[in-house]
Amino acid sequence: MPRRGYEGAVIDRTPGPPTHVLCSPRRPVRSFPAGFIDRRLYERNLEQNQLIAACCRHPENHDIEAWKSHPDELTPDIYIFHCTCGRKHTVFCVGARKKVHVKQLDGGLVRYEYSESDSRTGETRRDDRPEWGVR
Amino acid sequence: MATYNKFQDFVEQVLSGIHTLTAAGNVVKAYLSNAAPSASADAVKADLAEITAQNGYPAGGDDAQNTLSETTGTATVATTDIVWTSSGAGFGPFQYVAHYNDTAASDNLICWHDYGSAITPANGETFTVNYGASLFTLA
Repeated sequence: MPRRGYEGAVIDRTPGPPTHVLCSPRRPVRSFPAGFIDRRLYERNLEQNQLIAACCRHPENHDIEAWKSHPDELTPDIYIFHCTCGRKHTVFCVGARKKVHVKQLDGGLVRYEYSESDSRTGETRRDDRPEWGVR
Repeated sequence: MATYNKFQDFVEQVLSGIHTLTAAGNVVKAYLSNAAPSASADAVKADLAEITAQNGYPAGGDDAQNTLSETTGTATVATTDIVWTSSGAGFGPFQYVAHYNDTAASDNLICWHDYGSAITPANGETFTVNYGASLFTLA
């Protein structure tokens, strides 16, 4: 049953329509330059995850694709690893993000690197967690 | 990074002393929902339905292991990635990842993120919530 809001309006709890946008089509992880894909996208959830099949713990054998959860996102925030066994492992990136970003081309792909300036010291700090997509 | 969506009541709760988001203070948990959140009407976890706890997804979600720091007037709540591994018939569907204060008596809501479509991880598949530099900052 829909509940009523503070103003008495009925709240529609129906999930919104799909808004995904494909940023980088599925391709083998091996096809990326070494170190291009952030380890934090697969280290703890795949390589160190004893609850999944042995084949799933080897992301180097997987394919990967990148999506935006919504067209307004600046960079991909969904990464899906496709194991050779057919299983999919989804990583959803959330949390606060710096506002300034720079792009660095690498093999036709875009590597997003974020930085922010400290307004007090003028120092520029680089985020150490780049993301990638297609140009 | 998926857009941060604030439950509006959270800002009042912060100034009312409901939240102590230090590592030694309150526990922030993430949970999954397939009901569209309302920024204005939702204030506590009971307002936003959780998916059924089953097949690798526990009731109440999982601890995000929050920490709190402050630099030049900006407070940062950082968290640790959460991995849900599906078993059996899987869990879901769900489209939203919501965060709440599990220590607060009413399980007060903090924020949510929209995955953008409904998803149901199948047996042996994983769904990971990957946090960037922080869950959110407050300045």
